[in-house]
Amino acid sequence: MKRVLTALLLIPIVVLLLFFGPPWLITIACAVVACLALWEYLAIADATGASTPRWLTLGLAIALFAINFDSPSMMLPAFTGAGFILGVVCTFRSPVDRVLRDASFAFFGLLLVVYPLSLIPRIRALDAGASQLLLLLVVVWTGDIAALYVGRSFGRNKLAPQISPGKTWEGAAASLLGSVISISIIVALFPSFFSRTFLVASRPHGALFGLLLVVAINIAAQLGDLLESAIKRGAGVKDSGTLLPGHGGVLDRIDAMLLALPVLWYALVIQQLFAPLSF
Amino acid sequence: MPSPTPFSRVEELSSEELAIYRKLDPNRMPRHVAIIMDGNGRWANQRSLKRFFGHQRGAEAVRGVTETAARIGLPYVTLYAFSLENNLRRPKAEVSFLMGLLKSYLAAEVKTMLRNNIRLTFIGRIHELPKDVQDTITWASQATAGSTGTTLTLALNYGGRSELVDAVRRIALQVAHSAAPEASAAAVTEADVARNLYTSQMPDPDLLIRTSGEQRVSNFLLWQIAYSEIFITERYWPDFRGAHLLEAIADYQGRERRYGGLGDTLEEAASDLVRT
Repeated sequence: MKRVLTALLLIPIVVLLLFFGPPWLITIACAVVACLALWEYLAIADATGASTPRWLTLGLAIALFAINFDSPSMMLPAFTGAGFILGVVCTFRSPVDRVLRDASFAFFGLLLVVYPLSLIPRIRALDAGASQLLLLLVVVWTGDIAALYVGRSFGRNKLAPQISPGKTWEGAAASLLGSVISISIIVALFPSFFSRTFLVASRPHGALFGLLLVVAINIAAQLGDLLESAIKRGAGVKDSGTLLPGHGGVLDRIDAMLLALPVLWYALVIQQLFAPLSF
Repeated sequence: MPSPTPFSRVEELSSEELAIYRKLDPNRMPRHVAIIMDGNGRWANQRSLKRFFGHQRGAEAVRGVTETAARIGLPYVTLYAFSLENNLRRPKAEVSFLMGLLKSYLAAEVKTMLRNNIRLTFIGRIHELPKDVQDTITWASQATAGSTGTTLTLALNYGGRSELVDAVRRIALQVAHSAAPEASAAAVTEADVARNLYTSQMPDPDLLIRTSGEQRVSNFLLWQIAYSEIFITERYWPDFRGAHLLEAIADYQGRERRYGGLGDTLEEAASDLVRT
């Protein structure tokens, strides 16, 4: 019950923010979520026997969001610079046998949590960006719900018992099917939504590309979930945090998004490489 | 006489204008007429008057010409009122007089424009003008935003090259922020450039009129006049009337527009050559 209520409250806020929020507000919201998730991630990483520089990592995350807002093309130098800063600081701050672990865990946190969330303002700034993000949210959420309910009722074959004992192949398949069906319904009801949102829609095999995109995002979402589960299990932790009532931690909520967002971005990059149409 | 556009009121033309208008072909009316309003100063000097008087009469000429344009239902009229170079190179006293003239002109004319169903828009680096002028401009465009007839565009603090620079900057930013910058840069087209100009919402001018006989373009609508017919008259702007606009259109209708291709007559001759 708590889970449904939290979802009902968050979903409209997220959608409203996505479509009507000014760019600076979107960046701030993503930065806040990233910092919360990063804090949880760092706690989990530390539980495996490290001592990551918490405040430095968070500070670097905020700086990265600021740079991403102002000049996104500087993200590569900024990102790698952050990694080197972490390395150098850990060299002197951590005992020698922990330097590599502390620096690597912290940098991986920036990669896993900060980079995907920094893509949200960038995608939104593109033409029909908000619609593309909405599509991603629909794919991830419907996949999640389908996997949960079908997995509970029909789940038999374990997907990855070492990583996540609750997940089944039936649930995974249902997730895929659920995403595809939901998007198909949306495109059927709002045909202009798809053609406006994606350049490929106007190409001869546009529908096929669309299907591939949905499948890719869904698989990435499921993999993201498994990745986070593996990290938690390795640390002996069940929930990433207790911030959201009924939902565990922030990291738990967004873990599927963390791999799905880059996949959407790569799809947009590929689309732009092949599109002779104006950008 | 058939009306060329749904919002024309040809019956309101003066008898002199009507006489010229009857000789025009309603199917070949230009959609967009641009005018370089040159000669206010020289007109005044000729009559041993001060320059500002020429500017004042120039403003009255604007009134007359736009009224005629609205009556014959010209969809777009663009007037080169004040250039970037004017702003920088004319004496400060003249510039502030022109700003004051603009404000009082707009304040007085908006009512007439609403009556003539004219929609007022502005192009140029408006944000570099004094704040009070910007406010008047915003008010005037909002007040006439609901008009469905002729769109009158005033080019203020405008420069063709600056317009292109602003467009390039916008496109460069879009390319830099896109998912694949190198691919986006290679994909920039003429349509993209046109879309980032101040005039993105209008068709290119069919006819460019310049008064006071000077044979140059003076940095006006450089990109947009690529295929415009140019009409130059010796008349100074304060003497320019609605009838003269119609004469310019008559001259325009006598021309053959080829857009870089072959004309009808030349096409026959060329295909003859190829056949033998």
